Amino acid sequence: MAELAVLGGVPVRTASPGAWPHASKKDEIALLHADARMKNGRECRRFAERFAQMCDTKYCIPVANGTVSIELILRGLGIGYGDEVILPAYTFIATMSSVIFAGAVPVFADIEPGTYNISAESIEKKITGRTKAILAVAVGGRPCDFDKLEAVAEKYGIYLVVDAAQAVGAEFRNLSVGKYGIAASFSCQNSKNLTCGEGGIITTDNQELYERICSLAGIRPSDSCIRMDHGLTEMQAALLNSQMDKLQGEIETRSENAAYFEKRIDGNPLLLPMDNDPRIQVNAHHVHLMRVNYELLRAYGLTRDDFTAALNAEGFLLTAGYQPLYSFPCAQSPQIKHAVGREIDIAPLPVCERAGYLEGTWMYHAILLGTRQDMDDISDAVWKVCENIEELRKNAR
Amino acid sequence: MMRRRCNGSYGVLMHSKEAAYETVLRSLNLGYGDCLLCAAYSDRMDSEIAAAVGITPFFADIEKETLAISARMLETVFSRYSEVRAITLDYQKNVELSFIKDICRKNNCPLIINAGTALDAVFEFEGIYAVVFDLGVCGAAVTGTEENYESVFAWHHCGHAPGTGSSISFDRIAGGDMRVSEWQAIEAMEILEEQHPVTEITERGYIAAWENPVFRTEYFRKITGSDGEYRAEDYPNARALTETKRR
Repeated sequence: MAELAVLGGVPVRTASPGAWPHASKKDEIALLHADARMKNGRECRRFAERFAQMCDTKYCIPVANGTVSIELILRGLGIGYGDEVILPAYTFIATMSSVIFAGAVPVFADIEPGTYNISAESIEKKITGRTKAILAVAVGGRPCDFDKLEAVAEKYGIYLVVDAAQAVGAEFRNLSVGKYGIAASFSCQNSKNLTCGEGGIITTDNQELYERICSLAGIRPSDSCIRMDHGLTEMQAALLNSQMDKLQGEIETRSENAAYFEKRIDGNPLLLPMDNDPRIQVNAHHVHLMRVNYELLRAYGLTRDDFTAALNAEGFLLTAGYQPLYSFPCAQSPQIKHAVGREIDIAPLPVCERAGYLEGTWMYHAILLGTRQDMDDISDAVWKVCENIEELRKNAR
Repeated sequence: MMRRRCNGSYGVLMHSKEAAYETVLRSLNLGYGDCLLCAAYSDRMDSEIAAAVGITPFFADIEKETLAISARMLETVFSRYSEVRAITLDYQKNVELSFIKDICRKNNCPLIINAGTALDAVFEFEGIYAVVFDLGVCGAAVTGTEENYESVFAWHHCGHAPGTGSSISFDRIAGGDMRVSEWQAIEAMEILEEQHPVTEITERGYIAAWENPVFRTEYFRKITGSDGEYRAEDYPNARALTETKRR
């Protein structure tokens, strides 16, 4: 009889990974007290104050979602048609569409092989006279190398904007990721670590930018500013205020469990952690990034997908993660060319290709909120697949 | 509920009326270098959101009697200017919509209706690309055809086709995120059960094209490529209206 569950054996665990988001009676009560038809009111102001305090920024603006938040920052900086914004190709589409919606050209940079965050070296190769900003994504909630990114931004006189959609609570050099760059954007969409279903947050220390964004978002309309309406409803803000009470505890649990899990799989030849960086005090672990040893798998005639399918069958849910954005048909669409005035450069980037198609793999944050037993199970699953790789190889033929 | 109410075939709720209108414009593949026509005295959303998308607002004078763009005016505009790629009309009961639709159809120019808070308005959707509603807590775009709906949907939800759910695989559109939260949708249903009288044009807080300071900013010039020069004397009826209101 087969050992591996994917071949008919008994799985290590059958319990589901745990639902997300977590809602409670406390959240219900918070919603009951909110003004259902209002935006940008008391709950929004209270949340803004709390989040600004958490990030140690002067200003915080709750907005409709973590996509328009990026667009608002770019518009607030006066970035638009004719300008270029450099961003990683290994990220969610919202990072790219925000740039396009602001009217600027998205220029893709490669990522670092050990972190999957945007590479400062690659950015420098992409800078032109039209470059106005770097849009750095804290992929999976792991802070970028802000030392290098800020240095590049300063060297070329361009803005650093942080897409921290997945990085609520993350810290680099004891500072919140919200403190880096001229502004940062966070998402509170349903899957995120701090959620109200749909929502976004902007943080900045720049008063002029803050005021301009408030005008653009329709929060404090100004006659001389285009009036969009990307404000957050009171219901959503009320939920955020309630959910924030448990945020710190969850951040700590994820960090502890991630560290424990990685210790338990230490030395595993097939599933490898990302590089360690002592400057990162807190990784938000929205998705816990890992790499499969695709070269070793290839020697067995196997792929990343074979390996993750085997793990999934054992009860450890992993996904393949992002494909490079330039690879999607939308990146080459006539709509984009019309919106920004030219075609986007879709030339493949080697590390993005490797991450997207060969080695990148993700564990969703809800798993990291599990018990010690859950972490033991999933790490046992990794060792089990590893120890029975020959069985997998034989059946792959 | 919303689409049934106004006699439409498909509806998409979004987090604000501006988001709904912006999505409709993007779904028409409009952008920098295109022109959109609206009334010289109109909802500032009509022209400002168009500018945000990169479209140059283009204005036509209103009729003295109706305070709206007429079919006659549209014919004049089309005979002189071929750059107009879409038209946005603010809803009014006395607008000769069927004639306007004919002219738009003849000139292959999509017609968008900004219905505002006229949530009880009913439309014949043939000849209308989309109707945008303001539900206060959110906005809605209603279309008459599946093709228009799918385009609007994709542009509002990261390029996903309707019914495809959440995925990190994207298709041919780099759509944005104009999604509505469940709370807003629930509240919108309650709002629909209330009375919604149509307000007079003069009571709606509209703005005259030449009086909008947005069009004189450097940012407007950058994102549209237009100089934003709109002169009151080019719109005598709208000018007369604004002067009457001032008195």
